[in-house]
Amino acid sequence: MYWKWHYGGAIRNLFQIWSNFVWFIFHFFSLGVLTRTLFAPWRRLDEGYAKGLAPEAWLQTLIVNGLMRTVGFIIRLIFIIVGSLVLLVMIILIVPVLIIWLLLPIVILTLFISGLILLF
Amino acid sequence: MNLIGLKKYLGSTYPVLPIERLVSHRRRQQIRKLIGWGIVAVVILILVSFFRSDLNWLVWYWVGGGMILVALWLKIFLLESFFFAAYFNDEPTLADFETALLIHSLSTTDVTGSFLNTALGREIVRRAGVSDSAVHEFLTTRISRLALAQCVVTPMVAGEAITLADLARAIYQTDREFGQFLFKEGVQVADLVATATWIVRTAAKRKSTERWWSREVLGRIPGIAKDWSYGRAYTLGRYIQPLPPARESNQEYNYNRGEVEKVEAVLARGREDNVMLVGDDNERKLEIIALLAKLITEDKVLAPLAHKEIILLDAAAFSATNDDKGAFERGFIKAMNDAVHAGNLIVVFPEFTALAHSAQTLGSDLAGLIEPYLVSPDLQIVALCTTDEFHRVWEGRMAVMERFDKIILTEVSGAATLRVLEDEVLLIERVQGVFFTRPALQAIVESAERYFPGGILPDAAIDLAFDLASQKRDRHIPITKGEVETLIKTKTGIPIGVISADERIKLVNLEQILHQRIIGQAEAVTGVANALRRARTGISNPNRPLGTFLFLGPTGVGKTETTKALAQAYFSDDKKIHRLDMSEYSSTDALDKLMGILADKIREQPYGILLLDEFEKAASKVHNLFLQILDEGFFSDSAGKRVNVRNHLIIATSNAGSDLIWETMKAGKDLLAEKNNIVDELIKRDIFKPELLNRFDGVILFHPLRSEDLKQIAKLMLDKLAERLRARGTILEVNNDLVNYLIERGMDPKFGARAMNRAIQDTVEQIVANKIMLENIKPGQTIVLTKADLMI
Repeated sequence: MYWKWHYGGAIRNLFQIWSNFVWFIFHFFSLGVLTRTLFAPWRRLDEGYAKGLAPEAWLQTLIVNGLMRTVGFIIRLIFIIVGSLVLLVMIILIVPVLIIWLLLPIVILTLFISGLILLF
Repeated sequence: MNLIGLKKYLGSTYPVLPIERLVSHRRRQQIRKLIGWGIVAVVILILVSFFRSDLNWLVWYWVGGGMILVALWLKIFLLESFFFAAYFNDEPTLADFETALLIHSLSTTDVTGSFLNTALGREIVRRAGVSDSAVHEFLTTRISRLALAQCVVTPMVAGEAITLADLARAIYQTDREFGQFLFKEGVQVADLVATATWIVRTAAKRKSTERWWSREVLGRIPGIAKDWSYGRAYTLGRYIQPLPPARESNQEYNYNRGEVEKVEAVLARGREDNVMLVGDDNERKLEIIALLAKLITEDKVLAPLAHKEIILLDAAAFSATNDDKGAFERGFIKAMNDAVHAGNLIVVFPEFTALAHSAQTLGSDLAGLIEPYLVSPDLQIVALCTTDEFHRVWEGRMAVMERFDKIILTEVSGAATLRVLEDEVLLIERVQGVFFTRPALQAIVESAERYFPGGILPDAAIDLAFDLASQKRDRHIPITKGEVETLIKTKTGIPIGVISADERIKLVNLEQILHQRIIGQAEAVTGVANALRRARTGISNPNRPLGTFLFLGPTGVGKTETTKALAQAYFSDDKKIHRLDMSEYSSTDALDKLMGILADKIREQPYGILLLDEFEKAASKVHNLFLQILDEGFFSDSAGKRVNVRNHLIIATSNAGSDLIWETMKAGKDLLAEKNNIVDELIKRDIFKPELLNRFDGVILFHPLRSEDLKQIAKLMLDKLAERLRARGTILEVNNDLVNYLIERGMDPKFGARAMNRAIQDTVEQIVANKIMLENIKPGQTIVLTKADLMI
């Protein structure tokens, strides 16, 4: 009964828990929102363009707004990169975890026997 | 399926059950932890041995020992994983893990005994209000034993898993002796099932938090960067107050769920999506907002509300900082513009009306100021107000109300309150170290609904639970229904609960007790005594007043005295009477006037007797109001608020038909036999409508006092006078001369005892006063009035 679970149900559970963590990291770093708003100004710190013909003021606003968008872009990009890296690690992690899980019964047995040999 | 089959089946579904019974999950955790520390110790020993040349030879022994410990640790880890897979099993089975574990531990030959020996089984019975000693006595004295094969368990809903509640029900119904034992202890099958359901629900809640790797728990951690594309409301930020924490109760059963969904739906609409939340429970309105905020954080809201932020405006702080018209308007516009610019804010105004009032005193108009923001797609507003404020201030302001969707809080039902209370008392228990039984919780909810109509559910019930917990002396004994009833009795003066021996004697002899104050009037006394006994035994309808009577009869025959005697007998206080002279409510505007006064009186003193003197003189509109009050036990005041009259005895008195009563008596007829004719005549004369008379529990006729009655009354009144004098230190001897004199002076059948009362005041009291002064009577001396004294 146990072996049926270890190589059946448990692996299903493992994938389920793994998918929970992948989902969590994606949401925790808000990767979706950050990508969608990549070029938006930082915290809406943009200015309205002045009415009428005032090229100097217009240019000033353009520069400020451009700057805010750049700041927003850089910070968001950093978080996207960090988040994606963590996500990638999490995704890859399933492979070693799975291998360890599959081999664990043999590992335990080996450890136990080797321990006994070393002791006696 | 019978329990043998079920046990076998569950054994194969949950192979972990035998291990769990052998070494429990908690014990395994402890062992694993111990081994973990062992591994750490071994690692240290390896390092020490490695670096000290004299101990080098030990290294490989430590490594060998360490490997065995790691192997054991991993083995237990695997076992625990195996256990958790069963414990958190999401796949459909015949029974959940806890029930399976309990069924697995049941004895083949004694189901009930083994059930009561498990921790869960014992908890269910204790929570149901049965003491441990009673259970022990039952287990030792019972005759029969229920075998596993005899007991068949089926789930409540076909196709669903069997729960502890189903098992408890099956045992109750199959084991007759056990069923009878519980029934005698006041636990019916539905009570046991409800108690078990409560325990199952608590366990499920605990379980869901244990599973930290589930999406539900992980999702509660808010993401970073969600609000980076929204602005910050710096000006507004100075005037915000913190949101109260959302109640931790299960969201699925949350009694605010309906309201939260309504608010959510309006806010998510995207056009004129502002809410005015109307209700009298301020805490509950904030709870709704807090719950919505929690759902937003947990990403469980409708898509348009994701990434929204709810902030609570502190109206007092705002008005205090902006204390003249200009500052107020500039400050408000700046804060609101700020909020619009932020783009993701839902601004809540908890004291919307108070803020409007502050604006008004400064000469400004909040409604006008806020209107442009109500149409902004970048800002949403939730205004909170009470029902009264809504009707008084906002309802008429069409321009503003067009932009708001009004959501009125629905009343929280008793069942929903009980569910909240079930969650809340667990917190109270943890803090106060007490233990509530479920019958106590039921009694709390029923009492909060019935005897504290001014309080708002579920808060009124929670307050009662807190009171009970803090007053509990011996914290080891569970809180029972009886204790709730005692608390209500002390708080309200209304006798409820099991009738004590003293009270039983009082109730059985009620007629005699009433007759100590009321002379004659046997029919009236019997009528009210019967009604009182019905109310006290709980047979009467709880959705009506305690009792309603119409007393008909001439002046001075004991109608008011009967009312006072009733107040004394039922509420132990003859001052618990609201007296209304109904002749004052005969004009066309009488109804509004009466409703205002009546509502105030009843709110001030929610229990007692409502005495309506000269009821026939009230306007017909007023009579119509009483049609509802007598029938349903409540009415709505001018602001639309319900006023509860169910904890009152209502007594209306009237002289109407006195002439008929006189004639009947003169003709020597039996008044009781003529009652229907007299009542019919009153209807014919259009004094009372038949539907009004029918709504009284009893129409009671008071006959004119006969001379022997008046004699007794004279004696009674003189005794009262003597009592008053004794309090001042003078003793009055009530002798035959005095009684006869009074009868002679005060005998006027038309005015009954009233004439007698006047005679005492006008003559006897005067004579006594003169005697005290003329003869210089000192305290302690006795006054004896002779014929000579009285003839003056």
